Amino acid sequence: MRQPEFPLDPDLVVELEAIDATLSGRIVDPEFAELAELTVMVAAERPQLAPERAQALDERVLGRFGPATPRPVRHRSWRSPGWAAGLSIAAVAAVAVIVVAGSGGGLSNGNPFLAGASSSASHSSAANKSSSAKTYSLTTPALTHKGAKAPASLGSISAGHSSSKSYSSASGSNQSLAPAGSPTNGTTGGAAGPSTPAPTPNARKVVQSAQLQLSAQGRWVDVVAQEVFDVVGQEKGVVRSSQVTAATSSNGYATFNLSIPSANLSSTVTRLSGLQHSRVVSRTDGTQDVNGPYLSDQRRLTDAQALRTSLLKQLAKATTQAQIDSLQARIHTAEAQINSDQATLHRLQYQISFSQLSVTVNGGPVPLPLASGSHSSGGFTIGRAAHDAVKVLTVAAGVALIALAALVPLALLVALIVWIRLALHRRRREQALDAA
Amino acid sequence: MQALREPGVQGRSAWERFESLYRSSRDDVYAYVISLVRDAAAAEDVTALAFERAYRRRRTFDRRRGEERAWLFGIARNAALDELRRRQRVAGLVFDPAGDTDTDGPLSIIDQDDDEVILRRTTVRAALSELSGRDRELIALKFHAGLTNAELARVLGISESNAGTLLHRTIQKLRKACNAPA
Repeated sequence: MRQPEFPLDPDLVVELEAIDATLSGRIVDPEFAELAELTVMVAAERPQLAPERAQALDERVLGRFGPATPRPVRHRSWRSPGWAAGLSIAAVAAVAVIVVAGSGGGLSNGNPFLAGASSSASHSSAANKSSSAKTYSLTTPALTHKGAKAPASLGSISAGHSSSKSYSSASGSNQSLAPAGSPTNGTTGGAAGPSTPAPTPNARKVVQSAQLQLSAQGRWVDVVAQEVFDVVGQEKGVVRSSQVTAATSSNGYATFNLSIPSANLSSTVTRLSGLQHSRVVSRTDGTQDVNGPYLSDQRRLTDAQALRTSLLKQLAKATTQAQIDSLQARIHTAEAQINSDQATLHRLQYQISFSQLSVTVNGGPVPLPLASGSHSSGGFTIGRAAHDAVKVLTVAAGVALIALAALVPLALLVALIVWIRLALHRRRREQALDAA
Repeated sequence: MQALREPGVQGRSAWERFESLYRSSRDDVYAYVISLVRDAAAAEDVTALAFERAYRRRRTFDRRRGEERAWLFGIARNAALDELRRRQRVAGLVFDPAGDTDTDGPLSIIDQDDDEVILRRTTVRAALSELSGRDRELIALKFHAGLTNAELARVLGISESNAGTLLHRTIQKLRKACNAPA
């Protein structure tokens, strides 16, 4: 490393100038005659290259790099490492820009690696940013089919067997249905998917539920939402709550919490899976055996009613005021118990009669159909090719990002090692001079 | 090495510029290298290697950082030190006065029959051989290769004033050694 300049002693400067003057053959002040003589003597000790050695050296150097084989002067070759690194970085940046532009600012849409985990976040941000987006929320009163009124809240159900069956578009495989009451599980995808698995009808009380995740192009979210409303109405179901965020971009979003008559759950899910402008991303079906809790509640209610009847009979026979007061209090307690048991039983019955169905519609890119269906041609189109290209670029960008995350620390480590190695090499060179 | 990098500068190709640099510096580089490695054959190899490296790295030369000669001597220095590391040999500055070298150069104007001159020459040689490796390198760069103090500083990677100071100290050591009683 260069050291900073500092002013030299004038006497020292004069002597150095005298040396330079002597070496260049100029006359020096007689004051420096002795120094000049020493300079001449030292310069005379210069090792001379013997003529034969000089000739050999000329042949080695000039013969090797002679004008007959001059290397062409290359201007910034594309093969040079600097250009290669620059081009690589530019390519990665270009891919990132294309991916970001192609996916509307979010990598999650259509990205098989990122979808799901971040889809809700991207949708909500898009809804906030897009000026053309319209958001409306619908929370219907808990109206039920045939004028029945749904309980204000559906309490949790304890005990009993439970099972669930999930279907996603990833596997596309169907699993055989398990017998009623036993745990079941499965995954499906595609335009319609298999029919909803349902417990075999018998005397047992079973609560069913299902979740359905659909994917539609952003501009079709409105239409798909309306189709959901239509299907629910036709299946005598109830929309307990819904939220539809429609946007012109690809960030539309809709959610529905539905109560569907259990008898119609299978057909409802099947119809929703086959909506014209959407595709099934995943579907989950669940069942829970509540036969035990149901019979227990029923027995408790019967017991309470019997107790009240008995108390009423005793009250009729009571003669003293004290007996009357005591019996009236017990009857009051029994009636409260009856009311509570009736409410519990009513809630349970509602859950048995009406299955909960959750439907989500994502406005991201629609996955390509696995097989040509009634609503798609299945042929090659520019749009699909572009969609595929965006997906490939998205995956490539993800891989590049992961690779960069791994390579940057590695490159820093390599740079540190190289720097240390160069420093050690330099130090060893200087030590070699000291040893000489 | 703008001139070395760009063909056709002042009507000369890169090769012509390199050849010119070789012709003008060959003996100086050799004298400097042999002062370090102290072996004629090794010095010839190192000199050839230094010019080969210089030709291959001609695009790395930056005139803003110094002249071509300083850059060339920097390469020669690294090559010589690499050779020294490899060989781990130590020898005197004047390694073979009677054989491979002809050290009569500037002194040819002096009467060789003058006993006093011969005596002083022997004294200087002895004083030079007593110097450390770094001091001998300074002597070689200044008196044998003919570098300016600025070029010398560039080769050694130090400031020019520091190079002047080191050179002056080395001269003082030589003067002291030459004037010391035998």
